[in-house]
Amino acid sequence: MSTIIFFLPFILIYTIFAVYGERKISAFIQDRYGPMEVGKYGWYQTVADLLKLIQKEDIVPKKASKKLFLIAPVIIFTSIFCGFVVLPITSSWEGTLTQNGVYFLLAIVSLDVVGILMAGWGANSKYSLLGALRSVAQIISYEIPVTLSVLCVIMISQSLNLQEISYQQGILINAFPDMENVKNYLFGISALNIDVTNWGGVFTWNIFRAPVLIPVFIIYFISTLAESNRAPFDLPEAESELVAGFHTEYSGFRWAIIMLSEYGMMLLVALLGVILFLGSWNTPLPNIGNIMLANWTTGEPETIAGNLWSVFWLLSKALMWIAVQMWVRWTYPRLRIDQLMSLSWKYLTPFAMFLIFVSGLWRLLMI
Amino acid sequence: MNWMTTIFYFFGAITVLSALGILFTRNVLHATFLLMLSFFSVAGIYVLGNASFIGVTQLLIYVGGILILMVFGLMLTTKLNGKALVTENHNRLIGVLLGTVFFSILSYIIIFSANFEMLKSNKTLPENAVEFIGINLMSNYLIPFEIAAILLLVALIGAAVISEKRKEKQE
Amino acid sequence: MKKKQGKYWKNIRIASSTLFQGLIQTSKHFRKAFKQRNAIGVEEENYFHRSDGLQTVLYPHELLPIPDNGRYRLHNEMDDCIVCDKCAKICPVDCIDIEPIRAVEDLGKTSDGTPKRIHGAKFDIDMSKCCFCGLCTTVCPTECLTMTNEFNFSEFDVTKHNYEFATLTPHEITEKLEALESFNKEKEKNELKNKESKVEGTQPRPKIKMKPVIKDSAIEEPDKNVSGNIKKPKFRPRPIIKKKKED
Repeated sequence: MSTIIFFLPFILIYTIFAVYGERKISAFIQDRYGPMEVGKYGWYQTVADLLKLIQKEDIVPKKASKKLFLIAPVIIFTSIFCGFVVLPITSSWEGTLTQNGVYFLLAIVSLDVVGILMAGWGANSKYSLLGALRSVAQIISYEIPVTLSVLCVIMISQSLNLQEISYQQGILINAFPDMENVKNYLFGISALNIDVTNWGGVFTWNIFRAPVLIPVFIIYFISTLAESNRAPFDLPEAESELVAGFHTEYSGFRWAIIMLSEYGMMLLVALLGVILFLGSWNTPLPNIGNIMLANWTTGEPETIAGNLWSVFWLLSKALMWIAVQMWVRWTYPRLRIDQLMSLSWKYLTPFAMFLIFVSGLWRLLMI
Repeated sequence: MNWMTTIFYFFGAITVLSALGILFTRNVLHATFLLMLSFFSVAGIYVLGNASFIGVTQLLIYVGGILILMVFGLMLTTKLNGKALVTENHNRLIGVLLGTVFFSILSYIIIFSANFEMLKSNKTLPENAVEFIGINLMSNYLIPFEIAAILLLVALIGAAVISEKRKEKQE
Repeated sequence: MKKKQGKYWKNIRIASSTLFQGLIQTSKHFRKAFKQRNAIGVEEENYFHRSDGLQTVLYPHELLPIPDNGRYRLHNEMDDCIVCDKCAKICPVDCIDIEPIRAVEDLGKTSDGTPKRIHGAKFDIDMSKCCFCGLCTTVCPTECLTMTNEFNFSEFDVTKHNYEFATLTPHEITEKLEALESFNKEKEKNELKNKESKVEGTQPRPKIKMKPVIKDSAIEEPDKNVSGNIKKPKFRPRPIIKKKKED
């Protein structure tokens, strides 16, 4: 529960830098400068934009359903922010609802659909309604590959507890209760009999522990892009067709909250992805012989060094993930709605189902 | 009264009030959102009762699945003729009678015949409830589990068949 | 069925390879972003040479050099202007507004020797209407009206786009008008006198026969070199543009 103290200010500050980063990345990809005027290299551009947004008038369309329209941004942000409560931050600072962490996340992540529907329907605008309908269809369809890909990880790690999944992917595996005697093998194949428990680093990350998770990881990445309404799946706010999709009619602070929740969603899926696939708060550096890189860059749990190292690794991996999301956004064109659906139902879902089967078999190899 | 009890009563009040709101509101859309609030607070009560798995399931299935589909359907249909969809009262006498009868039967059963075993024996749910539920589903309750799975599969195939394009009609 | 399956796997293969190529392409651009384009003008040899790195310039701070013969804002050199009104007449959007006053006194000559006869009481060019066709500069007989390479003249108030080139003050204008009026009155008097004196013996003015001056085709076709040979207009087929049927 106490992780909220960390995440609420972090999301706000992160969003400011993420918007700046997004604009710079898009500019560099398109051979432009991006924001350059406010501060050195335009550093304060987002702060200036935020100040402007807060000052702007809060407009409610005359024919809108006022209650729904006003409350929708709050619901969108709340439902996404609820997802953060279960995430662990460091090796000794874990979230709430630990026993069902992943399960809760999957449930809560899809709830922002309610807010999007309220926003789209309440605004009483054709653009908003179309955007909202698309958004719901998209999020509900892509929930399935997301859930299935998360299920693959759960099959491998045998736990819904995000902190336990984190501990499994590093040299501290034996420090977690009930896992004192668990060993990590190379690629998870115990028959090879190469014990990598003390190697740590990338060798114990989930995508290395069970290479079957690499395609699962790709499926997760694609479908969470769609879940967070990011390009190339940004049909709900397709600028060229729907003005701004479901948040066409919003202005000022409420619009800022919607943007905040979009970036919050990106951070949430990135953090979850890092925890599930990329070693959570564990270091990527392995121990090589006497050079104990993994031990040096992990630190003992419950110590200041341990906390700092783990929060550093977790956040830097998540921010890298977000940078890749932005890179993808500024590379690919938007999908058509039927392409979107066929990608989800004909390609991602069957593959994810097949991969669940393979992960089950892989788990047998790991025993 | 410690703070857990306070929160419990808070959730209880929200559940009951929003359920009453569903009864008395005319606007179907508002009723749906109130139903969502009700489900939410029920999930909260589950979590308070140390049954977070059921609480999250409540969220996932009722709020995240069924209710979103309801809202989706409603929003597509309500504004067809420019008016909000409102409920109307029919068969008031029979309705009132049936309602009272059901309410009294249910409250009788709950108050007088339900024995709150957990409360009496001061037991708590095991820490690894998920594991427990999983093992039981796969062993003692395998047949109901499989039947539910087959039912869902049938529903899925049925939906696919219904939504399939019929060639005779198109030509 | 088999064909469909083949398409399915082919789709996956094509999608993954093209998506990967796209990422490589954008990352290339991203990595070259520390390079900048040089701020060189269009006259430079390698202006159209596509360089790596950022393609834009930081406009108010950096400027691509504008060629001297750029055709942007109009400028009128009032000392050379004979206020012939040709520019105002040819302007397709009527952005030039001229008010002439005939001069009584001698105004001198322009720099190319054309005598000036008319004061320009008003010579306004509304650049917000201008379509930058340059017709006015071509008809200008003294070449006083030119297009400059000054392109950055945006304003907050659209009326500020009206540029006034007349140099006369309002006081001077009234002065000139009065002078012209008195001159006209005097002229009328003189004419009346002349009429009275010339009633009996009026001589008709010798008529001048206007001949169309046709430029010799000798320049174009030196072989023929026949003077007075009027060249027939060549028949040129016009492109036939079919009008679209409107439904």
